[in-house]
Amino acid sequence: MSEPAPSSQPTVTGLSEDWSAVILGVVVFLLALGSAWLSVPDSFTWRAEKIEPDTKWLHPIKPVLGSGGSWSHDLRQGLWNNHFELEKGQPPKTDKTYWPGLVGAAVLLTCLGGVAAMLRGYRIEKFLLAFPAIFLLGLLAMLMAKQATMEALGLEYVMWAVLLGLLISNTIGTPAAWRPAVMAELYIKLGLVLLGAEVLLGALVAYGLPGIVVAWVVTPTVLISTYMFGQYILKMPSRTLNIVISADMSVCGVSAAIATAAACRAKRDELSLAIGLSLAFTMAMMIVMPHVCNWLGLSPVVAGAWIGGTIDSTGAVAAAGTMVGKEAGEVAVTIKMIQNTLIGVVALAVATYWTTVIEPRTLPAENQATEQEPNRPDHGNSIGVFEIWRRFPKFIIGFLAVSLIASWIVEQGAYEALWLKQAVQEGVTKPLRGWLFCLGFVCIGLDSNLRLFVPYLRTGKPVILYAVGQSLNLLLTLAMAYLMFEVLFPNAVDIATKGTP
Amino acid sequence: MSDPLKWLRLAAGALLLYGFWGYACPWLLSWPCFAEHEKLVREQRIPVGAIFYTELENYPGKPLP
Repeated sequence: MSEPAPSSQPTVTGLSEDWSAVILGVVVFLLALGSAWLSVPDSFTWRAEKIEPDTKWLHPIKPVLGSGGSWSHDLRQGLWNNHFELEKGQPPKTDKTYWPGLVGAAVLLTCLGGVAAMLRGYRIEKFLLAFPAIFLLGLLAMLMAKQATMEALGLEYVMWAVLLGLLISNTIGTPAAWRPAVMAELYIKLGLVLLGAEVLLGALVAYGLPGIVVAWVVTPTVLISTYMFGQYILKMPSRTLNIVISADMSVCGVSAAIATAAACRAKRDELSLAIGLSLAFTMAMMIVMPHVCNWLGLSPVVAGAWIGGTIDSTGAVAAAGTMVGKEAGEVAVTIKMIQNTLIGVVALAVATYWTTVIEPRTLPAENQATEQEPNRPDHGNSIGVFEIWRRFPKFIIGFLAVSLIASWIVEQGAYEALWLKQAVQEGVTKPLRGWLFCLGFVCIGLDSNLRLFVPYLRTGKPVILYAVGQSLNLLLTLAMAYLMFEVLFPNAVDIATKGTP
Repeated sequence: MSDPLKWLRLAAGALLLYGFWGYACPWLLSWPCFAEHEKLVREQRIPVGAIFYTELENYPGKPLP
């Protein structure tokens, strides 16, 4: 269907991308945990049940790690601070200065990328010369997404990052001097390991059984049904595109698409296409669904559960849920967070299925020799445990390890939850993960050819797959949300939030 | 492709992207359904651009302060 993406790097002599991502990701997470103690609140107590509501635990690195601020008409609002709002007669809401965060992000990402390049066996000086161009493109994508109109439309930085990369690669071509920093998979896998800190398994028990059923039963059912529909009825030209779109649509949009694409080694243009579809459908559903909920006369809890279980992006879920009402917004985001815990499970399941079932069927026929494993031997149709392990995308181990450590810490007490969520997540892993995804998508754009999208779009099959899968998702989730939150457990949300029915 | 043509294509592509970002998207947001949504987003400062939304204040699984 599409040609393999062009190699962005010369022969590799160091660690694989996966192991580099695991080592760096886990080290960064542990360093973030440790360095947070430089700014520990005075009132800290181990395993405290309660803390003062206004207690803050800000990570010392937070002031110098940012991605700019929201802006409307004047770009300086996003780069410097929003004092410029005074020009419109509005008092500034905050007094934050953004440029130190951008400079800090540049320095931190250069160091991280430099270490990653060394682990991979690349020449550091070439990386250092190439990286500023990639970072500037990423910065431009971030600032484009932070413009007020784009924020309101939910057009995320990933889309602008891919478009900017495509603009360069399909006009003047990606300059050879930039190649040493074009490491799409490495940035994305490192970002995915850090994403583990945001996937907290404790969210699973938020609403008890009804929440788990709505988020964890419907989602895999829709994922598998959509994949089967794509394979056997629609006859999708690419299995990897099929599973990436199915996971993207049924789990949580961009993050699930990235994790699944890395797990099954989908092509870069397939990931870009899946994300483009997700963003387009998410924007439409974010606007339409609140009106449909009101028109159907759904209770806030059922409406929230329906929105949370179907709209892809978590941010769009919050927006659409809040349009129905405050309670619906809270239920929607909680259901989405329960669903988000599926990312790791889906990535693990897809990776296992691909390495044990799909690849043994397809690889010998294609006699592949990828850039990662140029000397891969032909093993025929039977592969051993060692071969399965060799092919397994190891970044999932890093993702699960970070997720388990983070989930365990949060359960220890109120201060430990503050440590993980406010200091580590908000201060370090979340902004860093955002930057890494942004750079990864700039590199995907720089490595992609627009002509590769034409065959996909000509048949219209990806759009049909997404539309049919999402329709099934809408019907099943509505039925299950009604059954669980209206018929079987009508007091589940009251019990969860107030402790009494 | 000759060098001048490459740069011309880059300039044309950049203009197209700028037109989409700077004109088409704001035009879309001026539609009544989007305008209502935008008003809510601005008033409540909902971070719709975020992939993940972890600043949630009241979800039930969060340890009580």
